Amino acid sequence: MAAVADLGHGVGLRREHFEHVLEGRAGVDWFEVISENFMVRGGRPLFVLDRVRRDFPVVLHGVSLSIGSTDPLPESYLAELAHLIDRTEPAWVSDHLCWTGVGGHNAHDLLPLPYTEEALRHVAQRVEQVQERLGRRIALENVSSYLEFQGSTLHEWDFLAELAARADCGILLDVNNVYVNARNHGFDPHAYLEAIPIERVWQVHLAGHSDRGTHLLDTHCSKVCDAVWELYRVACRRFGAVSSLVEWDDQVPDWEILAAESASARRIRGEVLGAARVAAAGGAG
Amino acid sequence: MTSPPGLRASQALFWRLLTAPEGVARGREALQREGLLEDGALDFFVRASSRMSPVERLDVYADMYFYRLRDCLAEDYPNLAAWIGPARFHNLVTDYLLAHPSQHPSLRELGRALPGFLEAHPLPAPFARAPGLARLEWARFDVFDEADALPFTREALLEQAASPERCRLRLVPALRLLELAPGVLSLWRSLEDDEVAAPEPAAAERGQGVCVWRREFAVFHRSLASDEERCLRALQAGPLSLARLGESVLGSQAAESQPAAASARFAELLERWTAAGLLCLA
Repeated sequence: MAAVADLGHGVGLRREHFEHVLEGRAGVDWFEVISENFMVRGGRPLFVLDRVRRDFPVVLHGVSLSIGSTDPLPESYLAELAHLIDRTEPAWVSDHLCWTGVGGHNAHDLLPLPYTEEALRHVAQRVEQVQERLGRRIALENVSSYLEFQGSTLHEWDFLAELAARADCGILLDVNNVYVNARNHGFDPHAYLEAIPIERVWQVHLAGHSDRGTHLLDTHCSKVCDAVWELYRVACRRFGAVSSLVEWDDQVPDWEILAAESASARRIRGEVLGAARVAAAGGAG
Repeated sequence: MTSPPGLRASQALFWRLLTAPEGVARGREALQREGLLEDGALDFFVRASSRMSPVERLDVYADMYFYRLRDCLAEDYPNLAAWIGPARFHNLVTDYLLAHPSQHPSLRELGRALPGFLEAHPLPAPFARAPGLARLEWARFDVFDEADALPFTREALLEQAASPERCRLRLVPALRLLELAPGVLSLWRSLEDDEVAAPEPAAAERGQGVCVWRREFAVFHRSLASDEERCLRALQAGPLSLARLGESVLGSQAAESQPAAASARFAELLERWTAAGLLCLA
């Protein structure tokens, strides 16, 4: 499977920062945009997207593909996505390993799947159909979850790795979500990272979460916590130079704070990969 | 249920519990009453964690479902939400989501049916203007990312004036015409200015035509005089030549008795429309 480009370190483009970014003061390498926010006919959102795309690599990140739903694949949605892909020419396209609704209804949430052979077959087949429809491979992101199904027979990480192999798709590895799920479900996050095939990881997500006492909630409303940065360090050692992206969706801060988070990702990856290069050079000598 | 359900049944059950308006425990009871769920069946569906029961874990999703959609609707209808207050807005959203669960991949479309829902399910008397306020807020929201079009400018008008039959015009896509109850515009203005809601007007006062439109990236609205509303509605029905558009003003009864005044009025309207960017070439 051909590797995708390392875009460096980016952030999610949010409307609170439109002005700042258009003024050319971004200071990040690339942007990820929520596909559905730009599936509109005109106005400021598309103007901003076109301007940003002129100056930066852009990745389309969807929230409504509902790849795990037992409803038919949403053809009109795929047509709109294909149109947006043509317009934007993104570096790649991603969505989530989840379902968002059933019976023609949409919860607008990333709902968990049981990790079973039945679900694996179902999702793999649908990923293949989507990739055929879009004429390109996609990446799927592991989601945060707050429950486990009794029927699950596979570990989440095995399900994700096997899905990527069967459907020949990429993985958007959300390190925060790995951490949240590890805490919520009591597994070792390092075992998760170890199980993910290196060549499948196209991108890494980083974000903040909230501690609700009984569980961690993936709120994207705060800085990346130290434990997630540590896990990112581990991910850098394992996966190497993979594009990173900081998400911040609620209580969106000033640009400087968000950019500083992206700079932290850059610094950490630099430290890890720099150290690896030094070690390799030392070993060769 | 003594064994885990398959994927389809699992999602159907999850959905029912997720969208139960009074939470998962009540949703479970409802399913049991309907004979769709056996006692203790959730224990075969979702694992308990060391800190949370299956119901509590499902409730995390049920809470997020409701509050995410409520917050989205509050963003689309900020003045309505502020006016009727958090408790009444909460109940309104609960009822609305039961009647109109989202059927679109984009949250943008979630609130489209709310004005109609308010018409059919009126709030108490002090909030009689709620449907109109909602229609105004939705129209403003709706034109924000509507298709762009090059506006027909005053300069273009001067160029085309010599051949009014050939110059065909239409409304820009980012424009909506509304018929609003009395006092809705003043209510919106007072709420926008963070003032006490403007009082309800006298019952004798008539409703008014209102135009909502976007020019570049700014959204505007204003009330319409009856002749202006008539012309814009004619344009809404389909493209018209400049000549036919003029006839819809000049052909009125007043024009027959006062042709000079009618011509001046048409010129005034064209000036206003081109300045505001309401028209484009068909």
